[in-house]
Amino acid sequence: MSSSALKQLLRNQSIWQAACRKSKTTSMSSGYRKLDQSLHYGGWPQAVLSEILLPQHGIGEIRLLSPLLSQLSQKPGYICWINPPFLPNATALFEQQIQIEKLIFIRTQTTQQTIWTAQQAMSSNACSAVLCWLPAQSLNREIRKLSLAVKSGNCWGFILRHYKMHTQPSPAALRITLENTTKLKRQLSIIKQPGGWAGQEITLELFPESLYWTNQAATDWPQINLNSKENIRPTCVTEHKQEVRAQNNSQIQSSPSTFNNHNLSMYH
Amino acid sequence: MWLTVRFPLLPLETLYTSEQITQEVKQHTENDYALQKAPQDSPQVVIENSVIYCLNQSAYECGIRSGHSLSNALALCQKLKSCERSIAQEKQRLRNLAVLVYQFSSTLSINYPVTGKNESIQDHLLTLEIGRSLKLYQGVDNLLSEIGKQLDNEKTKYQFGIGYNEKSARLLSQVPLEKSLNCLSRGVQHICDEPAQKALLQLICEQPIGLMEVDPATIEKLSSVGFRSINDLYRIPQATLTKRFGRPLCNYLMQLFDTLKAPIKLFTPPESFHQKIEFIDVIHQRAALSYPIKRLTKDLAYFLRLKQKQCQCLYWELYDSEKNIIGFDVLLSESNIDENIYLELTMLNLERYSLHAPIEAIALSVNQLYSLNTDNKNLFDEYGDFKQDAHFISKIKAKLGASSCYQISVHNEHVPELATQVVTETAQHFNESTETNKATYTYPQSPNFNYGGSTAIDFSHQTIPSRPAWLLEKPKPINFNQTSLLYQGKMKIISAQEKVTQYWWKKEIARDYYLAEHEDGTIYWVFFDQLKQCWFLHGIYG
Repeated sequence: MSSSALKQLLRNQSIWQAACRKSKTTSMSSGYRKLDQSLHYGGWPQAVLSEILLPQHGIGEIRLLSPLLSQLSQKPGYICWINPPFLPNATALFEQQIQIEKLIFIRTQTTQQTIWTAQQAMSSNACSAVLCWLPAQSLNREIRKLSLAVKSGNCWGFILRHYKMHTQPSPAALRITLENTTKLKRQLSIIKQPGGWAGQEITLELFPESLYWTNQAATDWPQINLNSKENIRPTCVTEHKQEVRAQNNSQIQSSPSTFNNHNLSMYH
Repeated sequence: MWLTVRFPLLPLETLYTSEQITQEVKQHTENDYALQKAPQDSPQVVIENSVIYCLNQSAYECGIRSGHSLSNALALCQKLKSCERSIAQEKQRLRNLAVLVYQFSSTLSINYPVTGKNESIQDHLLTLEIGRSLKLYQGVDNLLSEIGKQLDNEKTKYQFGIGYNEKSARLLSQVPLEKSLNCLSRGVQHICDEPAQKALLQLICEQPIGLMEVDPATIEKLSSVGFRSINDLYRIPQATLTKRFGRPLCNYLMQLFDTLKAPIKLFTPPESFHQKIEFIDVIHQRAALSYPIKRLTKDLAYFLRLKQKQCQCLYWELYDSEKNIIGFDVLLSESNIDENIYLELTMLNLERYSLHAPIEAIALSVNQLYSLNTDNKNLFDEYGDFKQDAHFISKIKAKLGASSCYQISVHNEHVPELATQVVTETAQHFNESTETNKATYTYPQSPNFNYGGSTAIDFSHQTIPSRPAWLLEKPKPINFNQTSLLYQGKMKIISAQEKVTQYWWKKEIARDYYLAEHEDGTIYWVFFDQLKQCWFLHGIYG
């Protein structure tokens, strides 16, 4: 091979060179130390399409990405959510320090539209991050398009797909599965990542506030009382419930994360 | 000092524009390059009431004259192309040219061809005062060449005429320009001073009476009496002229000789943009519509650039052969004036409409104009930063519909579904909201809650109440079997209750919210509705 051809080949960023430890790819901390250590670039890589595979929606994908989104939302550039499965809760995103006025949500009707929209957003160079929910079907050519778009737009691109796609190959450069394990911990495994070997498996605690969560006996839950429906005054129930809970679970009352304290102050 | 620009072939050129579009469309559809032959060279005429109204050089060479009937003309030349005159389009074109010339002088008047008792004008005219623009353009030669350049770009034929007032300039635009230029004082600049005015008057007096803008019957009357040149009229006392030939002629002459000031109706550039192109042949293909759309967007961009304005919405109307009108809006988010963006967005929008019949005409209007955003922008692109432009949003909106894009905002409401509000606004607001609308809601925040750099998150001091990241659009009823909640499996409650009661004065809401852990590990946000006595699923901790 001639030297010029070799040079041209080496200029390609997607070729990993063992000799060259410092990479040109920039990254941003994921906000989770364990994950940052497992990723070769020390965080979510820029201009790389990342694929997150989930067994179902709402197992912590927003928590996983929110530190990145919060950092990116402080800077210029929009954050696009394409085809989110549910309505995003502004209050929750606000709590996670994401500037919600930077977020743009796009509803699409067909997969073709989703891909087109994602491509537009990713290659626009006006979006710092693009999150795109894709259906559980083989979309290799489309994902290839998206990874090129992410590269040209130099943004953080994420596609979120179903867990069952993890056995199939995908052109996304970084592939991660997120699964439920026992007791609110999430198992994260890296199937493929740029800049080095994959196969890392880590356990992440995406809901640190779960420390303050305790099981409530079913007997303490509100009981359906169809007979006396008219007689129930919500305020009476509140008082009664609070007494019961105070006796049963004094730990929650003392802990700072009790929801009731906050709510009561809002009532007054 | 006044300048008149005369457009003798404007009716022809107006239709030629439509003709050109038809040609482009034909090339597109038939892919036939034989049609590329410049159509200007072939004999062309514009007819009005089947009488030749306006004709081009090659038609003239065939012996056709204006006033001939169409059948005579066709007898003289078989290849003759004829089009019916379209006054509305001519007026539109003249107004466009007026906007173009307006940059050279703000004192501008516009004249359409009329034949009346008081006045009879042959051609489309623009008359402008140039005495005050001479210093800026350093002489009349420079000014004329600048105006000429602009008009050449529009591919229009024109004649200039210079006079000491509006009427004289209009008259002298029918004689070669050199003659009036020679009359001007040759000093540092050409100035229309006292001797120049005398010389110009001399020149006017030499002209035949046929050039006067008075009604043809009067001219005929004058020539039958024996008047040949204007000089003959100049020597006759006014009172006699008025008695013999009427007040209009006398007034005209007084205005021509500058003894009576003529009222001038000044042109004001339009505040909004409206243009319509009618096609000679109908258009059958959607892609072929891009040619007229391109032309209109180009005109719009030119108009906006001249006015230094921007628009946020383009309104298109397509007229089809079944007399239906298809109208649609194209929303713009960018403040830049860019005809390519307008074209691209329009074509994307057009994809959403089904066209049932061939299109006969297309119109573009822009009613509301806003001053151009003159924010300071960085001279150099900051490396690694993202652009602050929302063009991609308008593109997506154009393709998927305006309601496909939304933002959310936090509202100071206790009821969760009211606290998050979906905002579907024009893309323009996306830009503004980042600056002005910065979180009017003050939510209690812990000072320690900070994700920064590479430090991992420290949730230990977190005191804020946590909300689920996903909300169901409508709370979903779930079952309770006295031991656990049932939703695609079993759920158990893992938190204390959070009471939400609100709106007892309107539609009462009384809910107890709990966090529930599903057996598969997902955490849901459920509530017990005190009023309906039923459990609902409302959110997911994503």
